[in-house]
Amino acid sequence: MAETHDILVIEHVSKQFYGVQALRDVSLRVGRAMIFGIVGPNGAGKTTLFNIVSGAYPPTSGFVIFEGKDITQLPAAETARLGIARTFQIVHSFRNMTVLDNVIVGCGHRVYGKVSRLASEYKTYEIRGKSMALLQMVGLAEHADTLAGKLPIAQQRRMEVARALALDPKLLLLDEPCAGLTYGETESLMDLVYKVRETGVTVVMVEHNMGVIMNLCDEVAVLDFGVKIAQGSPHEIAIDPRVIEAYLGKEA
Amino acid sequence: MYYATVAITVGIFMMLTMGLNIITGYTGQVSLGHAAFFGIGAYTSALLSVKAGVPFWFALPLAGLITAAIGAILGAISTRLHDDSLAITTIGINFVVVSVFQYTQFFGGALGIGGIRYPSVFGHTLTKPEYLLVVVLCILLGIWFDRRLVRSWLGLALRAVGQNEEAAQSLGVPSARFKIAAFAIGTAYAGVAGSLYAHFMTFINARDFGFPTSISIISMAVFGGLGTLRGAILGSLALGLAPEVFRPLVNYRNLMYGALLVLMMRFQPSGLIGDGSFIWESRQRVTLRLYKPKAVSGGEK
Ligand SMILES: Nc1ncnc2c1ncn2[C@@H]1O[C@H](COP(=O)(O)OP(=O)(O)OP(=O)(O)O)[C@@H](O)[C@H]1O
Ligand SMILES: [Mg+2]
Repeated sequence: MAETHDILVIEHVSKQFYGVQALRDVSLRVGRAMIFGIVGPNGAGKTTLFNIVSGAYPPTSGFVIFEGKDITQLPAAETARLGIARTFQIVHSFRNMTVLDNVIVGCGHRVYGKVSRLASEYKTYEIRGKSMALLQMVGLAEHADTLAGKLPIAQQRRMEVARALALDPKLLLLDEPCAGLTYGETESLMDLVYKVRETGVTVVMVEHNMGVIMNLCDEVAVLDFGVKIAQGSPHEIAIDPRVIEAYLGKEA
Repeated sequence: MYYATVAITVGIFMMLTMGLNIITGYTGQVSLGHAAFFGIGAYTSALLSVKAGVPFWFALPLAGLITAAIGAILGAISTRLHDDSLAITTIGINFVVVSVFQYTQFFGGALGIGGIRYPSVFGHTLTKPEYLLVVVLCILLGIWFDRRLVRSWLGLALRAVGQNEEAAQSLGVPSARFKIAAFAIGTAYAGVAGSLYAHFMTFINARDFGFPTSISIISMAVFGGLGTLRGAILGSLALGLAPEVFRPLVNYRNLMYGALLVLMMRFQPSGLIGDGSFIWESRQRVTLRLYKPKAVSGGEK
């Protein structure tokens, strides 16, 4: 059964912020090693869904199951250690650290829980090698010693991907990775996502750029006003009348 | 003797600023009540000395440890607070601690604690220059610890939490625990500074550890450049010596610190020599220009 291989299962998740119902009874399943897209108009609840999966805050109701384990109430630091990595819609760099150190923070996920290892030096030969390889992969190796805050946004986005990969994740959540990128930058980011998937990592991405979704995603879910209104292959989604309506507004 | 007194005072403030730099500079937890821990260290050491006859050499590290423990507890309370509310809470902590000292008989009440013994070695009471040496050794130890911290996983995690807590958590850093660690370490510095102060003055009063003292400490950290050890050292040196160099200013010390704080925030938020400050950036541009040819030829091999 395909279902038993699903890496991420979201069941009846709702989230309420004071007066705002950001998510309403959303359920979806993400299969292993696929690239799964989430689309929807502004304010549809896409980022909220990522925050719930990654443990930034718990849902008001519903469950999140990762690799068969209930992670609904786990905080972000623990979901990270289980193998859920993410990037942010608005870049979240450690601005006054070098690009290399930014990536190394992600390499420490096995250390932070062990008091005995916290005192040891972080920049070992091995850790530096691993981080440089990741920076090479995202094309930032020559900026390793630059302060992260000095990089243009497009490069900080790539750095966030490298940093997330430093967790050795099984699931990578990308929140609008192509926002604000030029055509060329978008192309190379798509290549990068492909490469990541080739290594066996499951990718879930929120993306407004339909070209990116059509090219990359195996499956797409559509959110509108906190409700999942459709799910299917990119081509099915593109011609789904409910989706067209959500994006273009009801005609007549 | 006068110079030794000034140097000892500046040295004590250097310890305080280095500790605050770990809490506020590295870990981003704004503390406007650092003097409370200075006071806790001083009172701990004074009581150990006066009431229990503990020699300075044991009272000093004990003051550091006990202050760290109290700092960790207050840090644990603070982990639920952010930015503004944390800043206000730490001010509150400062006032509460001062009041407890001032109105509790056990802590000497309004009179404070006197008769604290000046340290001695084998019956020889230290001279002021010798005491200065002790202060300098404590500072060197503090600097060594800071350098080790910055190179360790612990230090990396603290800086990550300080620069973007949400990102740090998403990378597996349990931020609350690390904030508590930062408070424990930073207040340990303050505890040692308090002990050095108590045994040097031999008489302490709750007023010495009030909110204005906290403002002095944060001014030093901000002036030099929050988030860097060199900034903490330079800031405490400069602001600690300024009132001595310009004697007429002594009575306007707080006014001067306050004004500097405002000016720095407006024109050089990274401090005099912090990362991103005008001076530090220029220095790096110069070094880059000087070393570039070498680096290029090295890279071609
Ligand atoms: N922390 C919060 N507190 C209150 N309301 C929130 C919070 N986070 C999100 N919301 C609200 O929840 C709704 C969904 O927001 P969300 O950020 O998930 O949308 P999104 O689909 O990611 O939109 P965008 O495409 O603009 O990024 C919005 O109405 C938003 O204002
Ligand atoms: Mg969003």
